[in-house]
Amino acid sequence: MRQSPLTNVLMKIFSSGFYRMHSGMLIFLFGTILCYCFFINTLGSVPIWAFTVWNLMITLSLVSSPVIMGFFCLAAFIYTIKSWQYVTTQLMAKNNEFLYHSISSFGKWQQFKSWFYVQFNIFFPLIIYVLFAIIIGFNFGHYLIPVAILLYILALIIVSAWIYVIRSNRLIDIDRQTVLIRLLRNWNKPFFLLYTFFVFDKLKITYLITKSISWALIVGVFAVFSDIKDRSPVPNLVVLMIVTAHTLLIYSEFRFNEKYLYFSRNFPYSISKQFLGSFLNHAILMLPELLWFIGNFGIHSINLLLQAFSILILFRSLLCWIGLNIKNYLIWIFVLFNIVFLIILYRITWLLPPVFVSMAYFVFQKNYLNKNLID
Amino acid sequence: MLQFTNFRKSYGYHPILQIESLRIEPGIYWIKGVNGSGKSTLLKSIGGFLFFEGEILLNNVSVKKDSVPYRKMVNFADAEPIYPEFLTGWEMIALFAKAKQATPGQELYFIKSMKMESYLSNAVGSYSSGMLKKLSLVLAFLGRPKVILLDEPLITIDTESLDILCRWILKKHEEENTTFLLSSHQPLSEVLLTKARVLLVDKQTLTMEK
Repeated sequence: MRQSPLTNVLMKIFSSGFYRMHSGMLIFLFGTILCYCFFINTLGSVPIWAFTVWNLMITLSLVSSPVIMGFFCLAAFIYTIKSWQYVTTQLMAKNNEFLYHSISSFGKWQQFKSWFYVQFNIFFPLIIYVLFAIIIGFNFGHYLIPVAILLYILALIIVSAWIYVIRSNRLIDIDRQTVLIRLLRNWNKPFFLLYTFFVFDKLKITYLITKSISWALIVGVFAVFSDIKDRSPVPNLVVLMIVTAHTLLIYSEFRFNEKYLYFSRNFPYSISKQFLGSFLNHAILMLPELLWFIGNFGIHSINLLLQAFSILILFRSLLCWIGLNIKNYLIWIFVLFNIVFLIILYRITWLLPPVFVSMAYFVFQKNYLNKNLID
Repeated sequence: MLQFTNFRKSYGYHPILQIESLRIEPGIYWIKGVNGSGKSTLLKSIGGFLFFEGEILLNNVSVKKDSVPYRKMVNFADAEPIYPEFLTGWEMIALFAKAKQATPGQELYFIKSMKMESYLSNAVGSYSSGMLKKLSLVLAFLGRPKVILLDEPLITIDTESLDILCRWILKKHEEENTTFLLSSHQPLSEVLLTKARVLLVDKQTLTMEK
């Protein structure tokens, strides 16, 4: 059947765009689940029948336990919010403004069908997994939960499509500002904190998701390793994971600078001021975690905070060299994560501040004028 | 005086501009060239935005070695300016005034003559392209620059504002001997044409037209 022109355009802009933008996250998320489900091996001698059961343990828990189902539904909801954020941000982009005076000319039912198709595509990995869970569930005699999950996913798609129809038919308020921006209207915002304002204006959901991951790491990892006593590398590992969880915010800061603060390259700011200036934003954005570490580790938190600073500043400087290529950036983050992980395991974290900060400064100084990028 | 020595700018392996040696004395210059000839690249290189090989000196101050004093002397207005949408026009002016060390109230003359008072309290995100362009021009005149680089300054603004811009350029040049480099596909006004010399970007180099 031939796709309608509306569905075709929406699919290209929103579905394909969503996968392009979130390819790293999606490959990691669904790749991990897939690997666990099909390829994980167990230590020791295991009877052949047990292999299948253990490999299917996650999926079986999902279709048999209401608690796991609740977690899955929560994860699916977070995924849905992420897709809402992407679609609404793209709808507001200048190059997609034409949609407001083209989509709205179609009938509402046609619009709903097209948006349904878009959201269905965005949900495709989830739907495949749910269908897999249904087959497993039915084979092992679980019927109610698999059907409930399928209905829940269907409801999310319908609600999303309905929200998109409303959003794309709404008149644009070009002077709309968040409460924070309105409150601070008369305050001259410092140049090196502009990204923080941008986050609270435009990246609220990304920020909230990052903070949720961050706090889940703090609570989860410390709970799991609660029996390990002093001088353990656990706090260092948590710091590494928290900074890595902020990768998207670090990347967005660089993108914000490239797009909105391009003019500032003509400002008479020294290299060291520019190098350290962007860190201010991240210090403010990570303030809750910062205070938590100071509160819990007292004087020892200085080492941890120095470690966080050195990793973060290197993650940030790498972007000056790599540019906005998220795929290459994530590969480098992955490599650095493993290197730092080993450094932590060997308990030589004192190396991090001098080595990483020097490396970060070197990379920044060589590349802050985007030597390798096409303007 | 602006001085180029062994200047070379390329994108990947594709050379865009090569200037072996060139001196530009204070004055008003109209940079001409076809689309894609490298006019904006030239202005952005002089403005300290882009990496290049070789050297650019302004009054013997190097953009590479003395980046802070150099950037104090060079201002730039982009062809299609983009600013953070949540900031107001006033906030942008305050930011530039501080960075470029403008004298208090320096912006008022420009704002008044372009009749911009009515919308400067609004967020930049609500501006039309013409309003944004006017704002970018005001920002380029703040401080005491020795060189002002204007990339396509004549597009998107109304005819009345074009005359005002022309007056600003002449006044700034006469009072402070500021050099102007204007890239434009549109012909300059009669008054500016009599004062301006032509710099031609062609065949990957920059030459002064006699």
